[in-house]
Amino acid sequence: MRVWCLLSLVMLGCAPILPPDLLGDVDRARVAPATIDAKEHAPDAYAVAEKLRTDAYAAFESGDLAGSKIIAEQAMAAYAQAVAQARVSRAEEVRVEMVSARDAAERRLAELDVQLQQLAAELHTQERRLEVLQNIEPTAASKSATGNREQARAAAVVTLHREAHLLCAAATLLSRSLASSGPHTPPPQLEAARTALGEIDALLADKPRAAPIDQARRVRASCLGALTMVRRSRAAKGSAGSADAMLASLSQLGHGELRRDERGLVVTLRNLFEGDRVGEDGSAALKAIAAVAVSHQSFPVMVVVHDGRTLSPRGKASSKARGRAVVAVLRDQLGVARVTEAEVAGTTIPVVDPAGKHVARNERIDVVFVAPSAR
Amino acid sequence: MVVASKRFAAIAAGAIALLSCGVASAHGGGTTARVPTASELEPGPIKRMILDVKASVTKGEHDRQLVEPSLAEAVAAADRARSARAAGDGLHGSMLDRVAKQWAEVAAVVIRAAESERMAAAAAASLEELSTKVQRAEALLTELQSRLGRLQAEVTTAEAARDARAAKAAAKEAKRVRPGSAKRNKAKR
Repeated sequence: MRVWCLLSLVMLGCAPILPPDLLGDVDRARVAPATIDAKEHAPDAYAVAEKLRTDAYAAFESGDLAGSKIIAEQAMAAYAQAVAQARVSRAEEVRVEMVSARDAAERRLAELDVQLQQLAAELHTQERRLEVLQNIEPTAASKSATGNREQARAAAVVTLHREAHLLCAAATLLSRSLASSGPHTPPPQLEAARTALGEIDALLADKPRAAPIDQARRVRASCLGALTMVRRSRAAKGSAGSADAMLASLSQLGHGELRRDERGLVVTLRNLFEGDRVGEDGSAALKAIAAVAVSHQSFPVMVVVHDGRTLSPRGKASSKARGRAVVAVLRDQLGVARVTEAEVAGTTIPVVDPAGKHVARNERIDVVFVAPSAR
Repeated sequence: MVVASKRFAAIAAGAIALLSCGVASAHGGGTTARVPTASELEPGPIKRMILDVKASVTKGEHDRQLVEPSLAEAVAAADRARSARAAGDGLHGSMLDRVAKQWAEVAAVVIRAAESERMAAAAAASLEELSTKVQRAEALLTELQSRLGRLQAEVTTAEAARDARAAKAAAKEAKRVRPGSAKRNKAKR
């Protein structure tokens, strides 16, 4: 009886070595939702825990109760580690997703910024345009005139008509130049201006009863508008031409008179010729000017010959020959495509009174560098 | 003699029971002894791990509650390992060292999880901020587009009015400069 009591005492003493709950706790931890989730997100850590659990059972079954308890404790810790590791993985997944979405949002924001800037610029342009249209003075038709006034109108029509020709020629030249360097579609305003120019050409050839002063003004405005629209095209905006830089370079040469006008930069040269051929000094001046133009490729070139007095047919032929000679010198350095055929303006655009004593100043050559932008 | 042998058996049985309890106590079973702090642990890799985790909690400004249970388990296991070794049980001492190490690793991973979650939350906040900006920009774009549309319509109307005036003036001028009238007048004379 005493022996049984002593054995019972021994068994009672051993009972707390491996509480049945400990392996049960491990099993419960194993099937907890967080642990099941860890199986997917932290498979390596989960596998370690699983192995420890198996080892704990193996130790228990082999009778190593203390060892089984310790391994079970380690398994509990390993499951806890797997759960924490899964949190790391999930958080990292979320972070990567967020960063990716943030990058996409940043790109979208950058696109929107560009669009907003373009839209703001377009709005500004349209507002200005509307303001101009609203404040525009109504164009009243000129009334009939007689005598000196009609003569003055006729002279003004001749000048306006020639200027319109030169502006439309500049617009055409610039449009061709842009088309040769990339995709460019001439604006519809250019064709409209040419049509209007053709109409006034026909009208003037038909010798109208009165000077079409208003129409000449409108045609000139159309040609200037066409040139502006060519400059506003995308291709022109992309060209790197800067009239200021070219003006600075040309002004350092000291050849001729340099000025800006609606077409771009104009160098007015006098006394270039010996007969109908370009003289040595003239040739040197033209070559120096062409050398500057070489580094400003986006500026096409036109040559305009102005006469000092109304010429006979022979004199007109001489003017054309002079124009061709200047064009030839420039083409030598700038290439054929960049320099257009010379325009002979005759006496239509005088700089001094054609009846005055300084009439010789009207005889001149304008070398025009058509600016690709209004800057 | 029989009485004496029976008495010895009873004493031996009691001693075994006490030893079992002692082993169990060395393994941490049901002990209520004071658990030392981390700094009181004997120097070694486990102590270093525990102190590193504590330092990273301070450095990362994390809530200490995050790692306290794991670290407490680690410290307790390390202390039990020391006790087991002191009692000559090197095998269980090593096993308890592994338990302590495992719990210290749990604490380290918990800190890493907290760091990752903090970064994910920051990225989410940043995304939300950007999304708001995108939404505002899109709304502004829509507003400006409709404003441009209205403006273009006004411009078209103003241009039509201008063209009508110009056409009227041109018609008036055409009447004045009618082509060929000069020739006809000359012929008449």
